[in-house]
Amino acid sequence: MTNVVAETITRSFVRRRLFPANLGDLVLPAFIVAYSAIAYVLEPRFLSWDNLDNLASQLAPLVVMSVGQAFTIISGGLDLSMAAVMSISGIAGILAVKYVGVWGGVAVMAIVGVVTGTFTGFLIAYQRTSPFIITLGMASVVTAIALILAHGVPIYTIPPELSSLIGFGHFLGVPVSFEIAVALMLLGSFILRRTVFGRYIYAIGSNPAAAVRSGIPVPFYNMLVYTFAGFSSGIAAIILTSWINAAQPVAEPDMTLKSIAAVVLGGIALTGGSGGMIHVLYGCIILGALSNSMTMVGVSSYYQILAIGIVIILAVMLDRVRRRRL
Amino acid sequence: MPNDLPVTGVPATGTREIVVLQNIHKRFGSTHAVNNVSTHFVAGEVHALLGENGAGKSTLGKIVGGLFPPDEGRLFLDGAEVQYRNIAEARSRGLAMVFQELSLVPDLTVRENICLGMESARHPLSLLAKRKEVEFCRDLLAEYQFDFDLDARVRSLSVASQQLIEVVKALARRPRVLILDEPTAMLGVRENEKLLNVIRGARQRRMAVIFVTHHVEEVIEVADRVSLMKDGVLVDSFAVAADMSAAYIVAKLVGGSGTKAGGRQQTTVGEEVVQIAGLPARNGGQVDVSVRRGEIVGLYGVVGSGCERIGNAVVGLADIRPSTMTLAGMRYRPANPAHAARRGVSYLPSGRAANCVLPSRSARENLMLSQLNRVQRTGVLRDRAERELTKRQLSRFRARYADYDDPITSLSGGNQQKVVLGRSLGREGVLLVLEDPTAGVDIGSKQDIHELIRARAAEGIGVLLVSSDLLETIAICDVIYTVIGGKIVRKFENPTLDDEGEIIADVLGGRVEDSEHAAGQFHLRMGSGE
Repeated sequence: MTNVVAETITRSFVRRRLFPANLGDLVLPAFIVAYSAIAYVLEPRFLSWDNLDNLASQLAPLVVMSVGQAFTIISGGLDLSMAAVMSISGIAGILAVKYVGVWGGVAVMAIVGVVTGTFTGFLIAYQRTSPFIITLGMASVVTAIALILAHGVPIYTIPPELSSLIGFGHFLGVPVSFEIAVALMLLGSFILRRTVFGRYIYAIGSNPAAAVRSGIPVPFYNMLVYTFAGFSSGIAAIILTSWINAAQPVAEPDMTLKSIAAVVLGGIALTGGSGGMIHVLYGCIILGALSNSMTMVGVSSYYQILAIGIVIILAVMLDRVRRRRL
Repeated sequence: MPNDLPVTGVPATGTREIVVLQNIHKRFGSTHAVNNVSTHFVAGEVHALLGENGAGKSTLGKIVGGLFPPDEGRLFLDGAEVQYRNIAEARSRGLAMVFQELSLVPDLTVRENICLGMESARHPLSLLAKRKEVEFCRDLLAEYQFDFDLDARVRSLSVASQQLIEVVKALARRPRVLILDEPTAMLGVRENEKLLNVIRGARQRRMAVIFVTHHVEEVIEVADRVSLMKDGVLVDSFAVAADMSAAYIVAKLVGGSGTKAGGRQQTTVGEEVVQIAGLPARNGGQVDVSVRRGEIVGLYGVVGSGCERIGNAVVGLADIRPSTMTLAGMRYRPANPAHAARRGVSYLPSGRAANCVLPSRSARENLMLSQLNRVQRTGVLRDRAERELTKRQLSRFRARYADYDDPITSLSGGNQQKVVLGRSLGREGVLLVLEDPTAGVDIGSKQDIHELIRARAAEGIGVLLVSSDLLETIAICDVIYTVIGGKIVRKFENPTLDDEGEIIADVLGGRVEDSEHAAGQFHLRMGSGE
């Protein structure tokens, strides 16, 4: 027996000290590097500063949304209403600019996201309903309200500060929108790794029955997960509105699914209970780099959709293989 | 131990070796799970493999059952050397294995589960022969004296019943070798007796029964031969004589040290922690159950007796309508375990995999789950404090682990149990509710866990124990209430092993034939040196 223990200690020493992480964890970064190298050979501009700058701006809204999505998926749920919540946050914020000023409007976007998310979370956690159905229903409800508020058309009266400071602004040479996304990701990482809230999210996702029985107020924390997802949607609204210079009642509807794809692609299990922000980053970079590079080398958008679909399916299969080996 | 070639052609009435193992080795990574084991299994004989958790007995059973091949050594079936490619091949050769983990489909009926896989001979679109199946299952159940509702969904049955159906399913294939891997872990007294009867039936039908267990009393009860395993080595193998005591076998297994006597130390009992008033009593009246500081109170009944519902009510998982509870003198009506936790009640549920373990998380996170308030400041975790507390508790619990950041699933069952027990022990509070705290745990760890529970009580908290293990209940409880059909039968203060018979009579409904029979069975346990 002592032999066993000693051996396991050695093994874990090797694993922890000599390798930065599980070898499985290096698959995605390796893929990103390899893919970038190929793209660079085919089109050297792919790694030009201009293109990377553009890629970062393109990625920002998706990263922000994926951070929130990761929370829901780690907790064992998912949020299909994120793009809809982003839309209503954008519309409400821009409409509010008239009354509360530009930065008041920005705050309204975040607040609308938080309130909507909390309401969704309340329904899921306290009414014990399925996140799948509730968020699907909420997506419909929220989209309808956004359409009603905006009279069915995009609002183009965006304050110029938003565009110049957030949409196209740079700080230290990096797009501000991307910096916001990274900041949110760091916040998410801190919550997951270093707070009681984060620990409970993993517990709820890993085994909800055990979480309840160990005395965790599961409904409250489960609701907070969707509050955070709503907050992410609000932040995504700020970035997207500033970048495209419009608030649309139905903005980027397929971004919800893309955020789920990014999370899964990054290696977070849909069954919940594991994964972290680094996985979200990998997933977003792969998705973003794929469409960006394909556009650059002139692949038609139909084929791009095809390629992205295939990559997602491959990623899930790869994940299964890796899990089986563990 | 037969190291010579297998004997064949011995008349069926004599001892006929169906399975012969020669110098079997099996390693998992660095673990030498089975180390040079040679033995044989004979038709019409119940052969028990006894040992602590991780002794290699399950692995040996699985090698015979064809779940995986040995690394070295030879396996003979009916005198011919065999190498199964998979479990299906082993099954077709007449070996049937019942696993510790249930492999039933919960949404199918009992009949569908029993017949599952037997359709495979036909093509995919052929219709199911329902009438034939019903007949087949009826005969089978009658043969082994079971009365399950064939059309009941397996999900709706108790875990104990499911375990028995699992056995029936294996028997349905008319195997010649039946391998049971700790089948009694989930069973109550009554189901246990039923299972032992099934084993006797299998012996009568001249099957070779391989019975993997760590309950020495079951070995005495039903086995003809026992092989003792320790750290992968088969240390001894002998016929079980009628007058052999449990203490004798345990002594052989643990190398003479024996099990320590679980003497109850007298703790000073303080004021009342919790009172559950107005529980229905067997005699028609009402009973107040109370737990005082420093006291360990046990609720004991067979599976389905309702004593687990009383425990659930105390932690806010179920409501017992007619009763009112007070906690530390104040009215207490917990809505859920979180509410109970805020009032100082911590809880260790039964069903480790389903209700306790977070499978995707580390041992540290599993241990700290209920105690994060001890290592946090304004919701932010203090990493070093957490690691220190983890290290301290794991060593106090004598848990064996390589790295507390490894997934908890890499620990053995007994050590997992220590971790989840530590989760509720480590929490500050006034009351501890424990359900089956030593389920599936080996003898040594069991002692450790009992000591931990006693120590925690000695610190002045009340403990309510709901265990399906009577010996354990008697060993550590200051007071035992017997429960049957949701009603309290009797209160035993300072119970001793002399009360065993009466307790069993109580929980089985006091029927003379039942109690005498069961008491007889349990008196054997008294010899185990406890």
